[in-house]
Amino acid sequence: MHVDAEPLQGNLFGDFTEASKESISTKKIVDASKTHLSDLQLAEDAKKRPRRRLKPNPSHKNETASLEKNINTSNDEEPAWANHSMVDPNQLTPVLRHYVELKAANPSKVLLYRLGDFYECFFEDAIRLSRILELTLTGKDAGKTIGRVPMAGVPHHAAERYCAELIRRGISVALCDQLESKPSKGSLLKREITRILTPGTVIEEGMLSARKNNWLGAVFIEEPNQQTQIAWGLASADVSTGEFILREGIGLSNLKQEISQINASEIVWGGGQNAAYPKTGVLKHLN
Amino acid sequence: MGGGAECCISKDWCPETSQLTDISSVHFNPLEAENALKKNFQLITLDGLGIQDFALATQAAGGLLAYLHDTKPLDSEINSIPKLDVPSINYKEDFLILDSQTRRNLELTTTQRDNQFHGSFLWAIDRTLTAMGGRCLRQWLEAPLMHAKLICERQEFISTLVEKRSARKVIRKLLRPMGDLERIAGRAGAGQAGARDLIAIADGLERLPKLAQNIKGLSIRIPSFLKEINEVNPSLIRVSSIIRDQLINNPPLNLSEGGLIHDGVDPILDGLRNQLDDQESWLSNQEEKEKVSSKNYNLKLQYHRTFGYFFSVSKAKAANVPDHWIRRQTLANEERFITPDLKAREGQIFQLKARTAQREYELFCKLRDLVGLETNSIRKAARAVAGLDAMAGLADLASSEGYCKPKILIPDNNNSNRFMDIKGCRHPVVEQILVEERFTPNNIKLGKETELIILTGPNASGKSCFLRQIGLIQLLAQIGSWVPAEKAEIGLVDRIFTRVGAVDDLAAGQSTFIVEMADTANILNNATKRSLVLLDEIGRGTSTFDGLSIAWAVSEHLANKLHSRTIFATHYHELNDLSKRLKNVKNFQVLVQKTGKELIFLHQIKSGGASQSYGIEAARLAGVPNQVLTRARTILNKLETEAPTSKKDPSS
Repeated sequence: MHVDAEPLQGNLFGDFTEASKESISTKKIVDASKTHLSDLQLAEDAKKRPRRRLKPNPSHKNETASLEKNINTSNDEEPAWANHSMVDPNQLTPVLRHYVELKAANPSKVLLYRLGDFYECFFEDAIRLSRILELTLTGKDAGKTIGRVPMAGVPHHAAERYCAELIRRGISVALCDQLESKPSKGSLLKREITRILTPGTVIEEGMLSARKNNWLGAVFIEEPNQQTQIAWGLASADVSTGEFILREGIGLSNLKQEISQINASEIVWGGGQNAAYPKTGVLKHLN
Repeated sequence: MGGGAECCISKDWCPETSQLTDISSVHFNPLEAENALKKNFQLITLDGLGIQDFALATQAAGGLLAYLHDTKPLDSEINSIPKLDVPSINYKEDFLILDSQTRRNLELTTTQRDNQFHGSFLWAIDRTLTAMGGRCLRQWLEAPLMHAKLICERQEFISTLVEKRSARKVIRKLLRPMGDLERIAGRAGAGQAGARDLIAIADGLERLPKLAQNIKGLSIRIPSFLKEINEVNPSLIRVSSIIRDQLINNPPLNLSEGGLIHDGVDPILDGLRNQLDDQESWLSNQEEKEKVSSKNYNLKLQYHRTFGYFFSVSKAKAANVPDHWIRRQTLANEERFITPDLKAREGQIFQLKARTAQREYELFCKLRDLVGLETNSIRKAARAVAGLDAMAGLADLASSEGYCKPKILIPDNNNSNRFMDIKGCRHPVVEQILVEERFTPNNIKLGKETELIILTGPNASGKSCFLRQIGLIQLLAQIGSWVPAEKAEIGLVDRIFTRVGAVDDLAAGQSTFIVEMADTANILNNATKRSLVLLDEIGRGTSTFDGLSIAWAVSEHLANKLHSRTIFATHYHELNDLSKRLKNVKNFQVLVQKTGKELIFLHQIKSGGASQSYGIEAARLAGVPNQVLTRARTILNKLETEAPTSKKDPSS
């Protein structure tokens, strides 16, 4: 996977051309009128005016060096600007600034952003999608100081199919569409998130398997006290068929049992932001 | 795996297959949750739902509704989230518990080896014809019943369908073309259904009275869960006739280009269509007129998506056309012309067409909303259909595979019905996969006097298969189905435990032996008098004597303390001694025939303990090189003569 992505990284950094300009322009051009020179004459000319080999671009050298450093320190083979949070939104082009704003509001979803005939995504989503969906990872110029950022996209008419594949893999998608065909003067096209697809809430025929329920679960775990085991509540709904079932129980292993029994495709809970629960044997502290 | 480092609460309870989404904990607040439920179901109080005693689950429901609200599409005109039923409580005691190990070991919905549906238990028994029926059967399988009354209700109905073959055929014929009413109704409610979806609903609903008629023809008491078919809700009939009345039978996929609605449904639409007809006749008049004026009688009036209306003339005749014609396009062998009149009309026609399409779309949306209002009652009917389909499918299975109707023993207070007695039982999946040979049926009596069976026999003789088939038959019986046997009496169990094979869980950092012991611990801690326990080899992931000691102790505990119905398949032949010490332990073995060096597997189970495992024979069959086998035999002989310790009494 990583190896595949590597050659593509090349075009995210600058290229070689600039160093040669000076050497050509300073030389006097001799006898441009003569067009038919013999091989011998050409060789003589070459001796008189030797051509210099291109030196590697110093800025490019720096980038490779910094990349190497990156690899050594973070052990991370990702292209530059691998995450949307790495860029300063003020330095981005307006479209990408809007993208980053939307992405920041929906960090857990893949954001597909309509640009003409394509739904594009950038930064971490582009890298992820190019791997999962075997898309070409390319880049887009994001402003003078930032340069190119990773980009990948799917044609709009195939979006449904690609979304279905993402949903199947348990990845939520936010689709941002163009809401007008011509921009009001001097501004961007109006774009907004029009659909949010998540594994537990889709009802589109193509994204569900016909002979299986598609359960969305919500879990509430009671703050435990020392004496008893942790109590929990589980609400599960199949949005496509309307079934809505509540369960309660004790013990986290039973909870896991219940969730895997219904084979829920998505679980929501509010525990991510809660303060850590008081010391118990069952809850592990990952930090 | 990654990305969770900043979170401090364990998410161990969430299986890897489910995506975990964090939302604000505010939505789980009791008050918020109560309000969300009230708002969604338009209730003043939640008292009527009967969920007062389920505070935690109610809070979870609040979170779920909030999440649905957050993810609903913005562009839909409908303001509410997709329609849900009022929540119902799932009581644990109502269902047979199958933990995830058991579901995996019994291969209920996917095979253990490569996670395929093909070859799983559901694959073997699913003869349903509709998607709804398929989902229904899957749900039954995941939560078999605990109440004898409900089981017998299903069983009676299935039996009738098995006996009345022609009625079953007719019912299945009616079911076969039915669309997924349950989900289509949901899409209609969410404003996402297409015209073909509505036709599918109409078609499905029209079949309800026919189904009802056939069910009544069975002349038995109709189970309560088929009520919705038996007494078809009149408003559904009304809905289906409205759909039929308004929508044409084969509507296009695209909703925005017209051609959806019948004539005579809407006066405005009819008016527009009349106008269009007038335009059409004007066009054909024009064609005739220009034929005359150009003296070219091969001229054709045609229409193209991007160029509009034009006259098409062959190249040869294109030289002398009337002056008022304007050349529009030149092709290889024809020229296309327009006239100012034609152009002017074209604009009018386009406007009319657009208006017609718009009107049709509006009418369609109105119709869809009307159907959407009936979402809940359509779904109720759909679930009854699903149940009928599942039962008809099981009946079909029973009659084509030669199943029998098990006698369900109703549990009483002194536990006298705590047993199973099955004659000629077979493995429902394996018997369907075997093509060349016949599956060898076996008998079993478990419960009452014998609570623990020690099953010994050579490798590859079918011990594991036997264990699993007992589990599957128990399960089939408790979903109300017939079972693959000649005769069966089956007592209900509250939980099926299995401990089969050794699978290490390296991803979770657990060794083979730890996994095995964790499973065993789970069984010993949770099994009751009413459980069915199927053990295949415990204690083999460690050294021989450690393993044997653990196996011995576990068996004793099961037989003495827990009294669960247990089958223990093992190669520790020493365990055969247990039957001498404990009254409720019996030995069984899988028979093999040894003729010279050949080993013939008979797959028959008889009482008595086996003394040999023939492991080397099995190794030979698996293709282990001869050299190794010969050496192995030598070592075995040596060990058997030199090691008297193996015969030593482990309990002393």
